[in-house]
Amino acid sequence: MTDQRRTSTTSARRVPVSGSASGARTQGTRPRPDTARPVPPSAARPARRRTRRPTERRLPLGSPKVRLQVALVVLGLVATLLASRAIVVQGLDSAANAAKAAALMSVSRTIVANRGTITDRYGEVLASSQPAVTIVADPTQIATNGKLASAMNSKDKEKAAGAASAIADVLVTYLGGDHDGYVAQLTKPDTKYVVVAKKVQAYTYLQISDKLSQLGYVGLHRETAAVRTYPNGTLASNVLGFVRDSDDGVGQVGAGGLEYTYNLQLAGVAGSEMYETSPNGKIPTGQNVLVPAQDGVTYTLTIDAGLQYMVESRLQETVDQARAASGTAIAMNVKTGELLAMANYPSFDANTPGTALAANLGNRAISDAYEPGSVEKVLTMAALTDSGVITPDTRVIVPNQVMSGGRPIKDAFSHSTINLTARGVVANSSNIGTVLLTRQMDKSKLVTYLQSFGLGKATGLGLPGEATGSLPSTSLADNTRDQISFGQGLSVTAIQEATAVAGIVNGGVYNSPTIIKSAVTQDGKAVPVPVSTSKRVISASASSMVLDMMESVVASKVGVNRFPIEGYRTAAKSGTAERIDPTCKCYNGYVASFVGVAPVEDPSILVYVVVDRPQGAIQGSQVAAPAYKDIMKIALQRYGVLPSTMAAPVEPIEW
Amino acid sequence: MSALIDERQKPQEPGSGLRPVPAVQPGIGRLPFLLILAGVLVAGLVGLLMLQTRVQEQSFDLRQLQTQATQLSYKQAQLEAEVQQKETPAEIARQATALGMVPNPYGVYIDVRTGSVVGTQKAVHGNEVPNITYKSPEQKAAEAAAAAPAAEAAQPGDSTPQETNQ
Repeated sequence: MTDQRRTSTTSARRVPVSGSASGARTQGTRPRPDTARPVPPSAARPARRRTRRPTERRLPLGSPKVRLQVALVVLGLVATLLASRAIVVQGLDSAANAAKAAALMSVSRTIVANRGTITDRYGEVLASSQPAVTIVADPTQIATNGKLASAMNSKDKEKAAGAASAIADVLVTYLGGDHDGYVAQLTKPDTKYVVVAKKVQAYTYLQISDKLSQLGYVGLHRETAAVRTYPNGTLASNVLGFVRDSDDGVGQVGAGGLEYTYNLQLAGVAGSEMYETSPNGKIPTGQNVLVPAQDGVTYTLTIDAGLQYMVESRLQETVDQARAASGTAIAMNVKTGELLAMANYPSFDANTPGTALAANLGNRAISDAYEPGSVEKVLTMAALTDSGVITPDTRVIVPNQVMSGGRPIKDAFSHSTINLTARGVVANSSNIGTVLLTRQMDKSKLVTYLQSFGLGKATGLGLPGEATGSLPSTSLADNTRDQISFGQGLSVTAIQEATAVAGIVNGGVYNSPTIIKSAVTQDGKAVPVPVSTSKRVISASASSMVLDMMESVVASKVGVNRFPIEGYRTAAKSGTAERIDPTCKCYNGYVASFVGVAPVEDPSILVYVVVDRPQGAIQGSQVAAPAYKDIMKIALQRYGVLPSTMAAPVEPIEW
Repeated sequence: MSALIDERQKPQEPGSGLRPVPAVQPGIGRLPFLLILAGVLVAGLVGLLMLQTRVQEQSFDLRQLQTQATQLSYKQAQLEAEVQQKETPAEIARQATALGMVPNPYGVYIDVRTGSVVGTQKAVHGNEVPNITYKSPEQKAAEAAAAAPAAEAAQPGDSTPQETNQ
């Protein structure tokens, strides 16, 4: 009966008693009313008792009592062992064990942040980072094409023999380079690691790896890296700077220019991902903590790449023509202090800073201090007009030389005594006239003016390595005053000088220079950048008087054949100075420069060109002026500055 | 079961003084109960298995899609780099020169308020602004070799403050 019931459990149905045809389904057990079910004591009928199965045919198997006892003891021992182990694992060391288990399962991965992009004022990309890889090869693996040497048949061996050459073919297709060179690397004996190519675009690697798996070759692997590309190469490289690989080999660190100054912001913050894995990969329902990487800040510069390109090309021509050591050129928005172009030559390709001369990696426009020469006269005249000492028509008798500190000061052109107006002093660039006029003003006041024009201290542009230049103290000697009035005995950087002149012609309002227009984070939040600070340095009337004097440089008979730009009224000043050689602290060579602004009615753009150590012609008016003219012409057109409606007035420069 | 109930509810012989205690409704039988339990278990297990499979499948899909997304982002980066390269002023200058275009520094402006043209147009030949017209490195090298350094005579209007401070 019991046995029958056991077999009947295969039936999943209980049939009503009336269903007599159900016998087949229940395999002959007629489901009696509720026989096997324990019936609660309150049930009406007593439960049937089960009868013990007869055991008379059992074989003698020893004493069941002993057997039971032994089994019990053994079971007890095992249970005790297991229990005590469970207590140790779960009770005593639970935290440590749990941590160990978690560590075995969980994997943590760093998510590299993309380095921020640097663009020009119109969004043209000047520097950006791309995902890249370092391709490494395992020559040992290539030698057998990834198979066990013992398990290779002749076909495998044949394939493995040609593997290095075939892989090299693929590499040549996608990376270029030398087939035999690759083969040599891929077959290097006794190593499992050879770096085949660095800074390969990740997509290129994907293509290579697809091609290889198609062909059935193995042995190339990748290591994550990043590559910083400067699509414009040398363009504005001295401003942008360059990067080097970081010490951990994964990221990159700014090593010059803006890349250096804003390295922290550009680098962004690396994220991380922590997840649990099994041998089959990520556990889908496992713990998964993702901290996304914060990409670096995107910087938009005030630089105009198109103008920068033309300025650089023109500067290169100038420096090469003059066989000069170097040159810098600056184009600036007079009204805002924004730098539109800042060019250096010789320069370097930011993609390959390692191949450049160390001397060319910096930014001479901000790091090199030099004696400005006659361009300084603009600043002197600004001080003199603003303090009311002179007007452009102030008359001065200019002898052929003037004594200063026991030594004679002369003009660059020989002359007997001439009668010049202050305007004429500037137009002719007379040192003697400038000294005589400057002597009418308190000497400490001159230095104070020069300080207010930003000389003697860094402009705060935000680029690394900015020189301060040097300016005598307010208790300077008389002959030093004489010297600085025409640009000797003090030193400036090109950016200081350009900004000072821009401030003077900008109605007397000095705007500190800026090179960064804006910066935003990955999610579009603005990041504070150095902003231009404005201050009035001279009065508006003094400003227009200085412009008047500077315009006479172009419009008077001295410059009318050389400097005017067709259609525009311009104001300019040339400069030629002996160059202080920092190694010998003596004069060695010349610095030729030219600064100009246009249009005079409403000065908008300033261009300053400085050429260091020209050979042959040394005059700023010859070496630097042609470049100034071309750059200014292009800039005026580029920024839609309308031509002047009237011709430049010709004011008296002599009397 | 109904038969059972019927049997129980059969009236007893009168006079015995006994009447049947109503049976406790047995609800569901033992076997069916076990079977239901088993069924629930099996259904649960199968459901779980299906869920797991689905999750695995989806995680596989996810991985694949993530890989695809990464690969596409690589492709995008590469294409962007190419565009950036093609947008550079140097490249544009090269392309423009190849088309025979030359830079024109003599702009003419249209005043949109009055409709008048400001400035005068001028024919250009490409040599108006030295070195801005694109030249290939070979061209530059050839020019550098041919160019004789020209040193012009100094002209007045420019000071050379070399007399003092030496």
